[in-house]
Amino acid sequence: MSDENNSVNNEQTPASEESENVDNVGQDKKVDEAQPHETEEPDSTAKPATSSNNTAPSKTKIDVLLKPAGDAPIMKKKKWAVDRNKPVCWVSEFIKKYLKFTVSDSLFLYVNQSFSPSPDTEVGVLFDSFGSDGKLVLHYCKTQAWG
Amino acid sequence: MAAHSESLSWKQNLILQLKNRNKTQTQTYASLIQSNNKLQEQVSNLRSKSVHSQVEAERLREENLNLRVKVESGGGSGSGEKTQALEQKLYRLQEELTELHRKRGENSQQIIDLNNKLQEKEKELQHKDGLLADSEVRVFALRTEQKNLEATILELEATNQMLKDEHQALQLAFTTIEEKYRRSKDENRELVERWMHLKSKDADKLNEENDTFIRQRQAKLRKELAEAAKETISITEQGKALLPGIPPVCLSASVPTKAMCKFDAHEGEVNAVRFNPSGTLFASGGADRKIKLWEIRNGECENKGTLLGSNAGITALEFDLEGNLVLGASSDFASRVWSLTDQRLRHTLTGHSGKVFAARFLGDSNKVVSGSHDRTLKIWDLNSRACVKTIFAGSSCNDLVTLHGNNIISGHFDKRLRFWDARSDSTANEILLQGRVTSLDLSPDRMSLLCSTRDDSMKIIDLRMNQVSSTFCADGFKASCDWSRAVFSPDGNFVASGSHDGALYVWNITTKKVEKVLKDHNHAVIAVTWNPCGASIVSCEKSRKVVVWSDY
Amino acid sequence: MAEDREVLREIWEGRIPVCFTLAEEEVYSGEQPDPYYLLVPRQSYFPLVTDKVQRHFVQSVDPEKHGEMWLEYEGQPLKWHYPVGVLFDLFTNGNCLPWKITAHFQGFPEEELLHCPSKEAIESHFMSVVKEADALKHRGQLVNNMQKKDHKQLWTGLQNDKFDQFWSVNKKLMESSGEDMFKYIPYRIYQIDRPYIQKLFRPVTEEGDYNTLADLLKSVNGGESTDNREEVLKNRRVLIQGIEPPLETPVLWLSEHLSYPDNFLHICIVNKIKNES
Repeated sequence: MSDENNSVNNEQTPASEESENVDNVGQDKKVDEAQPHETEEPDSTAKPATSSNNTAPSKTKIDVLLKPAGDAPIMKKKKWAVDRNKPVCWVSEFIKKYLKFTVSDSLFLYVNQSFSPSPDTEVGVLFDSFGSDGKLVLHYCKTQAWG
Repeated sequence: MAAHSESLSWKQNLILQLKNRNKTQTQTYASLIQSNNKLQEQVSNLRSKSVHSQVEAERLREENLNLRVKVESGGGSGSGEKTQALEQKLYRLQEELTELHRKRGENSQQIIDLNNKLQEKEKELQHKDGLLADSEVRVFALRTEQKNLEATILELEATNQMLKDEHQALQLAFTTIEEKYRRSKDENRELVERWMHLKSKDADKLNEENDTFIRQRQAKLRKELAEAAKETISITEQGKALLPGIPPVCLSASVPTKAMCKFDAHEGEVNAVRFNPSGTLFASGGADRKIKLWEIRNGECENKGTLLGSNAGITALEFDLEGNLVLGASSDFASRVWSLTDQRLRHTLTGHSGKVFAARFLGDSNKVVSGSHDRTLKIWDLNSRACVKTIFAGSSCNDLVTLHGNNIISGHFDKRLRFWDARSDSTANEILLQGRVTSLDLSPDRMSLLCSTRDDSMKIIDLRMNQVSSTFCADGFKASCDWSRAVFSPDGNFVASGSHDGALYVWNITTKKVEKVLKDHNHAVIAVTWNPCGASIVSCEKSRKVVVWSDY
Repeated sequence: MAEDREVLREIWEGRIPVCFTLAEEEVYSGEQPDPYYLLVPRQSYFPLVTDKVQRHFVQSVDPEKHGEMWLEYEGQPLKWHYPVGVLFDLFTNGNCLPWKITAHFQGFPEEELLHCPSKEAIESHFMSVVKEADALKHRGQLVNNMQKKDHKQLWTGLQNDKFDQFWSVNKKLMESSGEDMFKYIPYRIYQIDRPYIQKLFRPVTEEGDYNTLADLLKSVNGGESTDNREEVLKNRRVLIQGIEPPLETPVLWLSEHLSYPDNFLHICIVNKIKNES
């Protein structure tokens, strides 16, 4: 487990760069659906994840749409491609880093604008149950917004 | 566990498994763990107790040791007394020590208390400091505000000063202008005085001329009379027979110069006086509700009768053309007609809702027109004794005259003359004058109308042109009231009117100058009537008197 | 139904005997403290019941080094945010009684465990899972329409182990008749050393038949052949609430009755005992 996490941390920078590219592609084409996933499929970094997962999903990355709620600052790029097996806390760490949060700032993530998933929940699991239109919508805010 | 009976349904299987689970996992261990927990608790209790006892034991052991040492030392000493003394001393010292300890404790307590107090004070001080800082901030804010306000005040003062300066400048301008005004006023007065002076001089000269003229005429007359007296021809009989019935035509009226007689005619005001068409008698009407008939004989006035019936003061009088009827207007809102022969009241014409100030016969003496303060004129038919027409004049009527059988001219409070045709409702014409119209009188030739107004002037209106042809006024002449009456002389050469100051003014129409001022009344003169023969004038005043003016 | 009520009652009564010991290397003063025995409700979470354990051990550890207490079984850190029953079924295979758990006060495995700063953290985690379950069952309508005091009652019912208090509220969430029929079954399938599986699964087939536990397992394994599945099942045990429900049991019924208080049906797939090496 710890090895995997380390590798995730190492990948962090290239992954976000990639997702930026993907994001640009998506914006240019104004297409929200299957298009980005096709470009993602030949990604080599996702392979170990799929093999360990044993469920052979059709895609290894998920489009996550990050929306601010309440007083949260807006992110310039809202849509990111994230590995299926990345946990929710990875996403929140990414947002904190992106928005240059200080250590004392807290961040809350919400699915369906109703519940906040456990930080160790995998993004893929959430996408399977709560994704729509080929993407997973997560709301983030600095204070507790729902429930 | 995996093996299960086929006969059981899944649910029963499930329940069975659950029960089994709880039996093996839970119930088996429940009592065990409960007792374990209880034991553990007891153990921990016992452990703490044992620790306590150990501590106790330790303490006791120490005490024991101490005692033993004491016993040993006690046994070693020789003299018990000394020991006792020492012990006592020790005891005392110990007591002292405890006392000191206690004191020290109290002191330290005090110190603690003081410290606490100190802390409190410090806190208070801090609080005060905070307050002070706040106040300073507030003071600063107030000071800046004050500065702002001062600036505003300065500004305002500057503005004020400016305005004051302006005001002063204006005041200066005003005073100079006022000064100029006063000067010009003085100048004006001086000029007027000079003018008046010149005028009175002129008048004196004229009077002198007149006097000399009259004296010459009188002398001439006397001479003629003397001559006539010599020739004793009795033609007077004939002349007298001719007089009654035919209205005299006066070719030349003379202006009397003195009062022939003066007497109390009524109680209170005498409002109206009028000669009959033949000039043989005159009637006067007063505030005492009576009309009295008078004949002038041998320089005396003889009462020929009193007409009664009015319920309030008489305001106007008129004889019909034949001299058989007397028409009187009254303040009791009515007009009345008396017959002269039997001196009886014939008609009472009621219908106005205000005092009636004017009444005249209209046309052939079968009709009467009256003007009232109810702002209407009413035309009455004496045969039916009914009002046949009401004219809404729009203003109180003070006097009226009739012309050519159907035309009526009324003079009003609103300074207007109105011309009416008895056959139609609307005015044919209006003339606006400078003052309230008080009386109207037609000239003998019926071509001009005399109006007296409250602006203290008399006006002659040319009825053919409908415009003012001449104006008469005089120093000291002042209309006496709203119903003061002025008249033409029977020859149409003079006009006469009474004044507020009790004088009777006579103007010459051709010269437009005052011909004569006759003074014998003590009160304002209200009405004047000129004998149709032209030789005498009768005037009445506000207080009882009637004066007959004649030279003979 | 009385039977179903009995099932709920039995589920609630499930408790596991646990023997807590302090990790030897962390003993600081004196001798190794006595183990602490506790009967822990399956439905509960460890931090709700281990206050006494912590108090018992804390005297024996280095006061300067001691941090948040965490638990471990045979080298496996135990996640506090999983129900106790799930942890037990997954790691012990159900036959290690009493369950020997080691308590630690040092070396918190940051990568694997979440911190549990307070009871409120457990409550908010619990309520979040309940909401997630309701989002699957009823699109979140029931739980969001509930009053705050109902949420509180749900939590205190669990915290104080009060069956009636808990179920008087929970039965509204478990309503599955008529229009309120569960849209999807909230379930999670756990296997050792693997993230749990959670997917959308409808309680009835398109033909209107009830989906069974077997159908659920088949759908989760996706493309695997039936042979493979049978083989898999031959070597594995499917544990829910510590028992192996018959595979023909309808999943809807399981969800209604065998779900944990967080409204999820937690399913553990473990190796059969004889196959363990």
